Amino acid sequence: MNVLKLVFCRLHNFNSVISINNGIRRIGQVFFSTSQSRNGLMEFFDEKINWAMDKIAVGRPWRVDELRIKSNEDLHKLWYILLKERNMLMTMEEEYKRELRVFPSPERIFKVEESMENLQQVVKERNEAYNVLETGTTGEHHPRYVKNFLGLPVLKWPREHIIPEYINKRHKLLYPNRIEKWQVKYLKLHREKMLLRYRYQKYHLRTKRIKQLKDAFPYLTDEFIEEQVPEPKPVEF
Amino acid sequence: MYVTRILAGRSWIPLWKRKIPPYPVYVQGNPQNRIFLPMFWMKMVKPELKTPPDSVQFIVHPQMSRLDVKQYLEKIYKVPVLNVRTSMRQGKDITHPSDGHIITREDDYKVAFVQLSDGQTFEFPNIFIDKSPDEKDMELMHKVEARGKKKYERQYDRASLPPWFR
Repeated sequence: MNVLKLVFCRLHNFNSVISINNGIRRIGQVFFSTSQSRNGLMEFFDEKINWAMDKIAVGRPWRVDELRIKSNEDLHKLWYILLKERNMLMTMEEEYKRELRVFPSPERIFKVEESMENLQQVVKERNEAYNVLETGTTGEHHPRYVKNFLGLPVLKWPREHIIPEYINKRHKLLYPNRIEKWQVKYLKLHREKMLLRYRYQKYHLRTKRIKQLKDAFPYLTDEFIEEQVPEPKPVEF
Repeated sequence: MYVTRILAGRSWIPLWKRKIPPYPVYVQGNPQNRIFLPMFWMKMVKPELKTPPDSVQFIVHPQMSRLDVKQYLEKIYKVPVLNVRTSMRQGKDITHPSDGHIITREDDYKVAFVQLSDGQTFEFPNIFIDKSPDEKDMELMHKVEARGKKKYERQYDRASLPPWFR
């Protein structure tokens, strides 16, 4: 197990080696790092060799295709390596900022973040595939329209609750299933108002467009304009 | 689908600035909740004042709690932790360079003060020992000054003329 730890400890620096072998590691090929394994809080800092450097050469971020080949266990280990790397880079950047100096190779943070996002994408893909196999849905949460206490539709994102909706008194008050008798009058008026607004918008746009056309091309006939901008269908109440 | 539509209008946010989904609701008797891919980040900061040798200071993700900080250090970094205190800090005001009025404010941040246990101590290392401070900049400045002096000496008899006519 110690050997494995060593291997994954420095895996992110061997990107180039893996890419030469077309993403497939040969049997018996083991990556060893001779550097001492650092532990504890000194992991928040870069290696001592890089402290005085103006420029630090690094490889490219992990690609999605490379991560898709990996097992879940490997991805899990890689995530923690990337997490530690990002923490280290952030502390170093803060320290350089405090001393009013230029942080060497700041693109390292973006590279780590990109590989982290790629890893998340791969995990999401696997989750979705599992969910589709088991339940037939991707398992994503979507908002839905619920009628509130005024009887008007409201967009609501689902949230986890200990008490289900049909027992929860607060939820039943805020989002009742039934419309009260006194609400019917107001809902009718609201609907009428909304429809009138919609109709006004339509007619207003039409008149505006006709005026524009007449200003630009004064020789156009009314028949031609009516063909171009037809009258909208009347809205039924 | 909805998420992509909502994100379409916004600019891209880096991963470390994004909001983290809340923990799932736990009911007594259920199996323990576990996080497989934590999105939290921590960065160590040099304390401004003199502190005891067993205390370390961090700036952490604002959604992180004291227990989160403790577990993060103990499980990922294998560092024994005795106590953690956190506090939220307001970002500094950014003022207009000439007018002096406040334009915006930097982001608020959370600071965590960690006390190590088992008699462990930690001293914040000095990263800039090998480098001489701003020596390169000084050299460049002297070089430019010397160049200007040379130019002036060469053309000092024509100093009253405009530079494009010398």
